[in-house]
Amino acid sequence: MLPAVVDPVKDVLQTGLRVLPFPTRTGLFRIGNPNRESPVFLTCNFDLTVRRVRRALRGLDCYLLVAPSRGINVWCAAAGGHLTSNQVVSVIKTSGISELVDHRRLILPQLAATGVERKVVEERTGWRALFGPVRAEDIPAYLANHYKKTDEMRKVRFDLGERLEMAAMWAFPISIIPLVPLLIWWRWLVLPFLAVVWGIAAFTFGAFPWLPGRPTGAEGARSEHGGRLRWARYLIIFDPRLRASLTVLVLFLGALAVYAWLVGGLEWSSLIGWGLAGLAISLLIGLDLTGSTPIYKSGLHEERLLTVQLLEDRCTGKAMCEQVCPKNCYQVDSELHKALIVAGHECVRCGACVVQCPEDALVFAYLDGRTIAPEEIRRYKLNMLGERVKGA
Amino acid sequence: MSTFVLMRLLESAPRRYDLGIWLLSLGRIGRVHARMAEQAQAGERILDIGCGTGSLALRCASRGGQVTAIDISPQMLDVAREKVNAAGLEDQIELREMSAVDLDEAFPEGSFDVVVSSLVFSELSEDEQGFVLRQCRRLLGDGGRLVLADEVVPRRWSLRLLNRVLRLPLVLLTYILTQTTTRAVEGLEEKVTGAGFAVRSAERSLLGGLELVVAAKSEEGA
Repeated sequence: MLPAVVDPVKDVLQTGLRVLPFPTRTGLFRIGNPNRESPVFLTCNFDLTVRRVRRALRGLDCYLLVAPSRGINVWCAAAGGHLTSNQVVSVIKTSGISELVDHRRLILPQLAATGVERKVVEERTGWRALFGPVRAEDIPAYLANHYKKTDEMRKVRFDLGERLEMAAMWAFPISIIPLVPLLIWWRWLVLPFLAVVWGIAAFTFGAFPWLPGRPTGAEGARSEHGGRLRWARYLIIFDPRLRASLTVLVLFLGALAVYAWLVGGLEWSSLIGWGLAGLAISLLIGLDLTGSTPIYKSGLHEERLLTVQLLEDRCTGKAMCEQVCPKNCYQVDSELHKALIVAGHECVRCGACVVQCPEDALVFAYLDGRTIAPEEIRRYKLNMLGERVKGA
Repeated sequence: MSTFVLMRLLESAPRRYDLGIWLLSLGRIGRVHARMAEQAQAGERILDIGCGTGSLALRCASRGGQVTAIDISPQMLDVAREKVNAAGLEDQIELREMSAVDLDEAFPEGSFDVVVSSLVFSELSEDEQGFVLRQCRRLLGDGGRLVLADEVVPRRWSLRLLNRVLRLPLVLLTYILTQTTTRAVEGLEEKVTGAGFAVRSAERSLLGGLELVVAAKSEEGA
């Protein structure tokens, strides 16, 4: 039996707990009444994603291959080495799809481009991989457009709905963990605590586009510790090392002590209760959430300091970079057969272009000019398990 | 053997993998590998699917077997290579970076006398398990044996419960540290039988969470 396509309870639970993997059944799904010419799509085996993709494909006749990505979403799994050519080859070979269709064209989610090498998939299976739209909901339009993507279909967005999903992803576990002691000993604290946690998370992500931001791209890499953050440095998404959270906790406890002194003393149990709630809140504030935005790299990873360099003499204008860049950083001059980086400041260093370039014309560069060969990125992803840097 | 969920964590640090697995299995993994290696005789051709850091392959080779050991992780194979060289068994162990789903094209029919695989099937999807078992049958010659050790779900409900309870904190810890998890193999013996093997022996660990299956290629077609 196939799992249900519509399952609001799971949707809510898996949105709230989406930092955790939710593996689901891998292999072949039939959508509608596919025939031997029907398109074949592929996605990861994160349960929430599979349900969303199946909903987006309703009304089409096609096959969906669910690759074993350890229950992790497409982009994270691709960048983390869990959705690579190996998993794609595996699901092609073990699902029996080759016996069901006459063509050999597989449509991958664009965000898999960081991990899946189309050349390797083709060599090992004979299947030609295309990178479809970023979002499953664009698939019908993509098919109607004869497998051509518009700029809009290639771009990762961060709309209010998505930002609130990210807010819920952080607020949910943080409100759940201290709930048991709060319910037992400090029941009066539960509502104010939840209000503060969800309020901070919703404000930070809701107001995200208007917060004073860290500059991106090369400029951002150079001014890493500097400037433009101002007061926003005390908001969750900009603080990688818990400094702010400790500051907030100390301030909070100080204020609590002043309050206790003013009202002539608080009971110990209230002090401890507020102290614990304050700890949870300050941890929320201190969490490094830049990695949950499609705009900043996590402050914990060194790849935020890299920039992509285009080696012009190697470029032959095959335009794979343009096909896979989630920020539309590239434009290809079809007469000169050369790519141009037209929006380098938008780069999120996902590495998709570096991995996919058939001419190895794109490399990651450090600020001091050293570069990392594309082969290294293909092997270790950005810095999988720290192995690349250690091996260098 | 609930502790094997931590494998995911260890895999992200291949260089600590052996020590970690040894600690987590309370030293039992060595005995399990020794039991598996006993199935191989001197001079036999052995395939180790998912060799990791090569512990099992080394045991088989030190009994005189000719081992081909495959693994998908280049990092694991780097460690395995160091161990093989240190043991001076380069002539008896061939290490290959390869996925188990490429077994169909890598070796001709009847290439091996014994196929061994430790803690690998629990990492594979249902489709992959079926595919690999069919390949094992194809790759084994007449009288060939399949020797598998893996995490399984205990049969008795009391042990299942105990297994769950012991597993939970480890699952959570592993989730937090590596965002991954393992699952036990369901119906390992049935799957082996279904792929055309006759199970000769199936032993379970004290808590019922680890199973060692020895099977022979049966004569009838799969």
